Amino acid sequence: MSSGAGLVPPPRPVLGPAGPWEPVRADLDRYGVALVHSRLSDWPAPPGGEGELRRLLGRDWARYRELAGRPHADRFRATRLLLKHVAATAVGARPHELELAYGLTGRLYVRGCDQVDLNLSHTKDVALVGITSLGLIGVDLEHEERRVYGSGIERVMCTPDELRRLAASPEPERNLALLRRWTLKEAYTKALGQGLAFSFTHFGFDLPESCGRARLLRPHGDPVNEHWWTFHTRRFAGGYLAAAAVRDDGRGRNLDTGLTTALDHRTVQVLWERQAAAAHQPRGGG
Amino acid sequence: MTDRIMDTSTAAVRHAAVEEAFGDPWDRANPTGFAALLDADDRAELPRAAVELYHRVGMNAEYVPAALGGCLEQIDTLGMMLRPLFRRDATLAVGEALTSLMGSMAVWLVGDAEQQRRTARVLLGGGRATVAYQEFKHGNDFVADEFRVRRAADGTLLLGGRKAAVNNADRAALMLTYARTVGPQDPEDGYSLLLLEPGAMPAAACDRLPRYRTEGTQGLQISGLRFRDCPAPAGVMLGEWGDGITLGLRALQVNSAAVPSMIIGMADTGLRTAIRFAVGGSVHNNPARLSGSARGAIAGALVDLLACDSIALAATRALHVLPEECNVLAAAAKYLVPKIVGETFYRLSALMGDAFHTRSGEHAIFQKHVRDLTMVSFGHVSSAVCQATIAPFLPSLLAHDWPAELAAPAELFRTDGTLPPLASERLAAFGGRDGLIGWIARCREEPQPAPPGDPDAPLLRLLSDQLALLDVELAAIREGCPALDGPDGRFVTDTSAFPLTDRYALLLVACACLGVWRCADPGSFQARPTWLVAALNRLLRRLGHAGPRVPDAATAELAAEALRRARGAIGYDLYGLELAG
Repeated sequence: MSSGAGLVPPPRPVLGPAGPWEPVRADLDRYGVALVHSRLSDWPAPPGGEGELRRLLGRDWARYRELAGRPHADRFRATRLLLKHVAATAVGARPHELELAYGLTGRLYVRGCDQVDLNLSHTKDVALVGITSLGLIGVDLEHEERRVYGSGIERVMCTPDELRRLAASPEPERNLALLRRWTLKEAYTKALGQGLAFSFTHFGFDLPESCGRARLLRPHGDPVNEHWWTFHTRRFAGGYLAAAAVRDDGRGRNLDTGLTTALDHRTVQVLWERQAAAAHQPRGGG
Repeated sequence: MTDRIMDTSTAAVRHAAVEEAFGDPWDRANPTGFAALLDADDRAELPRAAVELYHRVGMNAEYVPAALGGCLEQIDTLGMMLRPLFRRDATLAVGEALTSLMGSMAVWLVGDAEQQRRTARVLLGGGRATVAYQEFKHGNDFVADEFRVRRAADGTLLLGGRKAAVNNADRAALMLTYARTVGPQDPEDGYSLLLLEPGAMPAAACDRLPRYRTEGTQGLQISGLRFRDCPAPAGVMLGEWGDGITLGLRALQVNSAAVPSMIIGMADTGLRTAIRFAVGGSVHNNPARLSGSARGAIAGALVDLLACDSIALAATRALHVLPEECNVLAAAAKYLVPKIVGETFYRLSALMGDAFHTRSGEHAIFQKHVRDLTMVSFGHVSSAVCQATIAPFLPSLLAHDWPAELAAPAELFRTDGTLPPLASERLAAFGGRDGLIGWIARCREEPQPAPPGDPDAPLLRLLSDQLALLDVELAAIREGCPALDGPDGRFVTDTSAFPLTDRYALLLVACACLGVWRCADPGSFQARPTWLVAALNRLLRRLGHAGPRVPDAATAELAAEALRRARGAIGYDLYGLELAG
């Protein structure tokens, strides 16, 4: 029995549909978690025209059409293509066979494939996708140069304990410390599927000196001791800051996430034979 | 299973007796209340007082057939009867009740008379049964390894293999075992179903493996066993050699239908805790004090629970009413109810804020139930088994247009009335038909009239739009089905089956809600369209259809109903029974 994701590996660069995907697959196999970063401009409309894009986007095609002509359209297309390729890598399927779905709060998931959970964040031209076979994942992405400290935001996103910690840290480090807390809070509440609906002043984080594993705290600084959650921040690619929150449901370390092995073939075989036989029986009302 | 028929009201009386015996769970002085249960969980122990009370009340009888001296007659009421345990503590419920139930259901369905008598004797005497499943490819640690069996020259069964995680391995008198058949003549993927007595195995050939710890339901006594050419006594095999998977599927349907019904008890406590938090600790506070977002979360949780109970009710009653076509329904319920309950928990977590993280005090049970749910639902391995049941059925959706005449009977959607006994042979048919879908056509073709001035008229118009969207969804699912029927007539495990199984399960929940609404007693809460349109709105959104917006007044009415049930300690389910707190 595992207790919390042991380590969240660094984000792997992906340059487009061709990957490289091996390191992503290897991280999933080894850690049960993988982070992927990619430039949105690396995900243009695929060759093959509208038909191919429509096939790849599947149920998201309608939403993409609604956005047509708006600046969000390209970002929507690029992030969906990236997400589908990451998910397809994890479950061993082709991207067009998978469906991205949205929970009631907009939380992303791969429909019918609960052996993996994924999450998306983007800033500027960079997107970050987190994927896990352990349970739940939330991710957030910011650039380290983003100024947040001193804007007043700390009062609406920090607990009393975090404000004390912030005030006690050297002035030049405060912006980064605040940014790391912010991304962790985003990652955690996104993993829960709640986003900003979960008040950021109701929980805090104890951060290590540099990036790495953080601890979840209650507003006055007591640790929450949720061993099944892991919180991590990572720097990558020249000043980007990635945060990930991962819940390990304790499925053990059997990390086969492939779709072709998901359906127990003995069960399918028995049911298929019985149902096929029943379907050929004459019935009334058909 | 039995010829005797027991009226549901009898189960309601027993439910009230169990609630009364366990008492107000919020009372800190109650030795079987949340404070004591959380304390046992912190120590990773079974809650002693609650376990003792469970056996004093004689709750094992709930899942022993009446014909064998127990109380079990209907699976719908079995789910309801175990909710008081799941409301309080999943460790208690799984450790004492669910594990024994799963270890005995196959015996009731496919065991011989002696095996049934033996199992009933153990359970009615306060003993335990457990189950050791076979290995699954996508297994968690409970199904990552398996036992083996072969026949010696003299016909003796010899056991081998190990399992690291068997619940109550040290406490159970009986262990239902899926053992891979490994004789030279046996086919590669064959299993036999055995009813073993772990305590009676020769120590020299049976090793006890150490305790296995879990993050959720920490108090469960899970450990492992290893057999080394261990001889099994005669008479342990259920059914025929090598028939384990086929026979086990009959029990799987029953267990898959019953578990979601039980899980609703955990969700009930989740919503009750969130409401206690939101109204400031006093359930007598005014609903008008709630913020709009809290009202929405509470109303949404209530209708999600009613939708979950609708599919759980239809799935459990289908075992009796439509045994040849219940397997897909049971799988849909088992697949979706834990997902919907999990989503409900997290939506309510945002309402609770810091209280979501508390490990002590009156709100702490919330985080425990959130953690325990992942253990009870069994996660992805359970989903995959459910999807393996739904996927081969999908191509048969093309056989009909699912008109109103094919709609399943009203008996499926009532919380009262007696049902025919379980018929094990008919459960084995896996009939490839589904009468729930016909309820879309029935509700479209026979709309409920709304006389002028009827306050529900706007909601009924909204419902009509929702029904049209459900029809669109059914058509879209059917469009995807031909690809699953392979050219040689064999089912193709095309990866595109996976999203379809999820969509189809959501559609079935919507149909179950329609059935419950149309078959409810006139004038009752369930007969009003308010909960129905709110539930369908959420199911349609999960299916990717925005759908018409539910009016604020309807949300306010549902939140008020949730608060009313909190004040009166009334269950958040279709039964609406009184609780002890």
